[in-house]
Amino acid sequence: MKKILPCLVLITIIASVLVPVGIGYTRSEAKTNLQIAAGELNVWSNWSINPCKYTYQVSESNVRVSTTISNLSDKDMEFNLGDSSAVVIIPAKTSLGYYYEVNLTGQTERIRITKLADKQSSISVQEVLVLKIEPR
Amino acid sequence: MRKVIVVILAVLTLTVGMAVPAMAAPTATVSIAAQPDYLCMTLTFNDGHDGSWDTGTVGESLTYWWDDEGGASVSPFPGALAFADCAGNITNCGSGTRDITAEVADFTGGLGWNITTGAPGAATVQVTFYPEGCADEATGAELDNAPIDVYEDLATTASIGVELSLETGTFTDGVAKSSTGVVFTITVAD
Repeated sequence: MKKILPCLVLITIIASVLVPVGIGYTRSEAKTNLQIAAGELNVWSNWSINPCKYTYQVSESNVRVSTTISNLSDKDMEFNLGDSSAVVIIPAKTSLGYYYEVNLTGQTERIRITKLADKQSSISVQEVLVLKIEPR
Repeated sequence: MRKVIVVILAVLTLTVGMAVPAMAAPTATVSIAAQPDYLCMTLTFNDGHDGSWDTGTVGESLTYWWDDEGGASVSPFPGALAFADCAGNITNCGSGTRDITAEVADFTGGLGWNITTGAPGAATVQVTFYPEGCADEATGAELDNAPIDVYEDLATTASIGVELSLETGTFTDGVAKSSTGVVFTITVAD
């Protein structure tokens, strides 16, 4: 019994040293499996208009058509609504309902709704969605 | 009493008789219907690009590629244009098949550069659009000040990589130039 007790103490001491080291190695091996993505996709804008098309029977009067411009992205965006109104800012994840008064006499009308460039540079990119109003 | 009622009725008759023709002025009936259809565009950029292309200092009669912004400009051709060589990516997140048009504004600053669809000369430049998969440099669409069709029938949820090149002409001054924009337009397919 006197010989067993020191052995048990020795085993306990060795185990207390080896077990944490073993855990440490396990974590270290896990880190070697981490990977960094090579390319990054930058979501610049995401937006919509709804509806985007009207059809009409010929008339000779002004009519009001509406569309909803939705900023589906995570940042505020500036828009030119295609009429004489000033540039409007649509906050992130929100929508704007907007009316246009159009004189329809049998022609096809296209209203260009432009998402303005966020910053000016040598060449800037602008995006346009077109509201189309055409005779039936 | 009867006389009073008769007078009132006479006045009412006259009033209504005069009012009705006035309200019956020529009118037009408008029948307008909206389709349950919407346009949606998502624009993404690869590898740190964004909605502007800063070419930096450019030389005469050279071609610069948007995807190579800030570095040595090397043509992605020969071979079909790969997505990795496109700076931008347009997704049709709308409810139907769509067409894409593109246009570009002239450059301003000092004596500005006009856009040309022919070979660039003095104070003119050419901006060319290439969709992903474009077979070679010659099949790119040379952009002008008015919209031109650059891609037809982009299916709903489909994406297309987009790349631009800028070919310079000869210079007449050293003032920095900028263009108000390349405009990408999505419309209902005709």
